[in-house]
Amino acid sequence: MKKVLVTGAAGLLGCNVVRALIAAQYKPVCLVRKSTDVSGLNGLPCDMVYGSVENHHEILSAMSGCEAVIHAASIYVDPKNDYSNFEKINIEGTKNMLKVASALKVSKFIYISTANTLSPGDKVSPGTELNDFKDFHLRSHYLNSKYLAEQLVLEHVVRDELDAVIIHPTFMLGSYDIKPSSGRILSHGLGKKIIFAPPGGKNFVHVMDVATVVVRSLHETLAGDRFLVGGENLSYKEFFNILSHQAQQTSRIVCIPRWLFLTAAWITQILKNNKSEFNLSSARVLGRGNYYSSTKASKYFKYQPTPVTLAVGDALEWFSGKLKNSE
Amino acid sequence: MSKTRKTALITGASKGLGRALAIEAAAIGFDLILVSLPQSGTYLLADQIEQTYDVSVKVFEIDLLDAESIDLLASYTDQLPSLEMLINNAGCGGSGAFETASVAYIDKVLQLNVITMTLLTRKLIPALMRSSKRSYVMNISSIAAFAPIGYKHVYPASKAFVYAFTLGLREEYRNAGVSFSTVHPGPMLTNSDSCRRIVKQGNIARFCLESTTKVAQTSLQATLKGKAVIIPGLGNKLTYLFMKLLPSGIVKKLITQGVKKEIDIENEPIKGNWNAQTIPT
Repeated sequence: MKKVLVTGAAGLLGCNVVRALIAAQYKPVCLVRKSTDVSGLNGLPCDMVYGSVENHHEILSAMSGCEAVIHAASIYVDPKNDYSNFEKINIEGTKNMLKVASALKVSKFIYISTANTLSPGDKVSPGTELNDFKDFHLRSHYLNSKYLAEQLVLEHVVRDELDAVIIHPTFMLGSYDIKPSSGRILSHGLGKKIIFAPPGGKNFVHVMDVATVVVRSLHETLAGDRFLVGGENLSYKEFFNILSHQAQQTSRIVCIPRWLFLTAAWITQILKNNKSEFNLSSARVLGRGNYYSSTKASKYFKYQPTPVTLAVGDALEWFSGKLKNSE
Repeated sequence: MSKTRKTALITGASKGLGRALAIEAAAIGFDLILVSLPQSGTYLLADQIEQTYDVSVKVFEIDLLDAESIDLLASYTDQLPSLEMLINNAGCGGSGAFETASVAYIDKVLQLNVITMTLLTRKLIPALMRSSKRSYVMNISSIAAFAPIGYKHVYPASKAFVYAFTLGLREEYRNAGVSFSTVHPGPMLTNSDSCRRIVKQGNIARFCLESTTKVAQTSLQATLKGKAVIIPGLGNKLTYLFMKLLPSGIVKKLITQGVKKEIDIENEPIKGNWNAQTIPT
């Protein structure tokens, strides 16, 4: 069985990628930190290697014998919003992974980035892979570090002939969101009589769709190409309507005006001396229309985006199962 | 249909400014000839451009440092009815102490930024002159062309060549239907090196930073209007004024100190970036 290294394997996408790999007859090798909660991988036929993307030797021992690499490990928030942490994991970590992958001549390197390093469009003409990164001035440490890491990936494609592909998932929902990461949007709305919806909206995608594309991209030679992988473009109001319906609750959805949302972010930023997850740059990214098209990926990888209602349903089912287990 | 088609040839088209220029030129209806290094994913880019815009795209993945490459492009364009735009974008650069720069590095910068650009323009001028419409040559220089900068040695010098070369030809071809423009961008996020530096440099770099798409749009519009010298972005225009107005001694000193500080911090050997406009300060 072909071995595939997965970093960030215990995360929302990682857990789903590992399952998709197993279903496609691969042997996943999971690189995870000792401190990480790996309960999303319990009982799966995969190898566990303990270590981090910051350590060259740990990467080397994890990657030896692997034919391909799926690099999904990344931080997207930091409690102190400290750039050096983003630099260490998202940039240096990717650099380390690329170095070892080039040295070992792995046949495929899949880099998981984010849709937001491509500038979004509106609902009528959503953003595509041709769009450029325009949000550097927002000073989002996450976006800047992911964009920089993408440049490193592309440079290795040219310099070392590494067959690397960049996948840009939009906002993922589904099972095994241990942390939770994107699942926090569910807890924001669950059980609430009144749901405050931020301005703007997002493209929402079932995490299994992204995992499917990731595994299918292992079979293709696509060096240096990039794919947006998304589902439906919904305003937050539309999204919370779906959530309320799926959770069988009656909630009133109140849209927060953009100016109020940004003012709140600005005040938080000042009060916490710019050391908060909720700050002006994160609010600017969150509170706009992050709308994308995944025409290219759905054509190339022949996937039909799963409706968001199903993604929300799956995520809710998994969360309630997890709550029951912990009781 | 073929009567109204117009074609643009763009070098260094796989990423950065060249990629953005390709996309923006396609958006305003140019058929494209994209030239970039082997393995740079240009075929995939071409596919998506063709599917998004109603244009045809031809790809040459070749190394412009090979003498045959220029002949290959010349013989291809000779067969075209005409060529309406040539964008000389491929270039490279880096920084470091002059005495540590390798001969290979110096040679590569001068070859690509000066000789390749000159020869390609020379070989393609017949195709450009054949056009029944006005045709355009856009040469990508740099804001660095306006100030000699220590520790960058051949890079700003090569870009000053582009400036002088372009403006000379502009006069020569004034009545021959070919309009020459020289573009002087400032910092852009076109490779990992420039990104890293811009993040570290903070506010001034951020103020001068323009998105690659914006630079491409501005440059194309201004070129099509027949502007001679194009400096995209307010921040860069101010930098240009600042360099003109202040005594040149002070400016050179400030910029050189900035570059030196950066080199001292990095303490890295000099390196070149393909298909990339390395930032000047």
